[in-house]
Amino acid sequence: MIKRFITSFFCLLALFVAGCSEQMSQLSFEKIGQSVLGGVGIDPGIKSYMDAGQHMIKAVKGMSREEEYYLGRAVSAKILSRYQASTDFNLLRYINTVGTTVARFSDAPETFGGYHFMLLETNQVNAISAPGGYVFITRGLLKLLPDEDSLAAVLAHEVTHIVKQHGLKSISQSNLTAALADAGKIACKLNCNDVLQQAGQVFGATVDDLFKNLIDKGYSRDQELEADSGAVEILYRAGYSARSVQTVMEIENLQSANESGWLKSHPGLSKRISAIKNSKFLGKPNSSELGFEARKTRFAKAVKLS
Amino acid sequence: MRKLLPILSLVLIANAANAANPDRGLYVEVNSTKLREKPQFWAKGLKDLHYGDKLASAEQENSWFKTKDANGLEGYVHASAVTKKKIILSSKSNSAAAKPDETDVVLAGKGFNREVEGAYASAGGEVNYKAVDQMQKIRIDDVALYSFLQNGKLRVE
Repeated sequence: MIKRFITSFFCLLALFVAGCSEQMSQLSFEKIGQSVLGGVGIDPGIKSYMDAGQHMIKAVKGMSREEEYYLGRAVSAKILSRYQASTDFNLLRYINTVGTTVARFSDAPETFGGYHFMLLETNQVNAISAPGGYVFITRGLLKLLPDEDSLAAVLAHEVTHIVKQHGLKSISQSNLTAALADAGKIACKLNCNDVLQQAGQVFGATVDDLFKNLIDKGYSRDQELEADSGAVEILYRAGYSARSVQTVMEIENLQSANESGWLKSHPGLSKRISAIKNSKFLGKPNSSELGFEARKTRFAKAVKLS
Repeated sequence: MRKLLPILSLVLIANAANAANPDRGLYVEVNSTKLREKPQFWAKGLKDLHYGDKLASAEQENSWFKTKDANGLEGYVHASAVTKKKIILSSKSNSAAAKPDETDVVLAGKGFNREVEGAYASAGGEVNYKAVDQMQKIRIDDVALYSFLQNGKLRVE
């Protein structure tokens, strides 16, 4: 009797301790942050924040959807400072409807702030995406596309980059900066303006890093192949022609613009096309032929009017 | 009494387990979404849900969770809009505070948030947030999207 009671008591004690551990971990996290920051002073500067960040790096398991959203907004703000955004409301609405359609059939139809699509008024042939749900297509690329299914293919490719978090993965080595910002948040009780300013600098460095990766370096070959594959699957699910990804790649003028635009950083076209041909979704029948002409007509109408 | 003791212990353990992890459930991880009548985006929205809202422990049906809100209202929420990790909204901003253990939400609201964006934007870099805000204003509602899919003979779930 007594033995069983003791056993039960220790079981309950163990559960109680387990329940407390969550609170304990929060407390210790804050204590670490405060003690580290307390040790470096009220206005320790970026270097000291890096020291604090090193203590907190274990706390960084990845970015939240909210942080991803703010990073995406910042990268988009940089893109839109470099390129002029279209003001053609009807065309933008059409592009956003096609984009929302493909996003809806992706693995992540919902992001923190939703998906948003913008036409950039430049003759460069390009499409770009930023974390959190921001997609940009240039007028130069749009002009080369023959139909709605091709537009859907380009947007589905970019949406897949977002869903797979390819942009964020390109700054994975910069996770420390997130910890720095976190360190700044805790120290805000001490000197909020300075801390916010410094957190803004850290944020800016991360944005610059990401922007450089997305715009100048581009995604890795594997990421591009993954985006192609994801686009084929999205098109199939939505009822678009899954072959449209290949159609886009085979546009002659797009290939000649390859040097400076959308395909610049991508793997060789022949490799991409052969990879797509292996997709199981190309062989599966869907109803894409049924509405193809109707979609092509509304595409022509939307783009021609612009 | 001897027979009852193990049962009593189990009951106490179960209660203690619930108390130790009172936050078991789902949390809305996006700015806004809907609790829907059916597991479809086109289904009637029963209630608007917001970042950090807690939902009951749920069973998953493909990409949808069948769940209940705090008032017991039953409906469906898409898996990409929720997380099993705990989200605690900070009182200062509408951001979420997070704790560092692996089962928790990662640094939500503690790192890059509206305040940090403000500091970054005011630093004078080449950024055009006004254009981003304009971009975000274009929203395609479900009614318009449904019609678009139907007219284009696209898939309507």
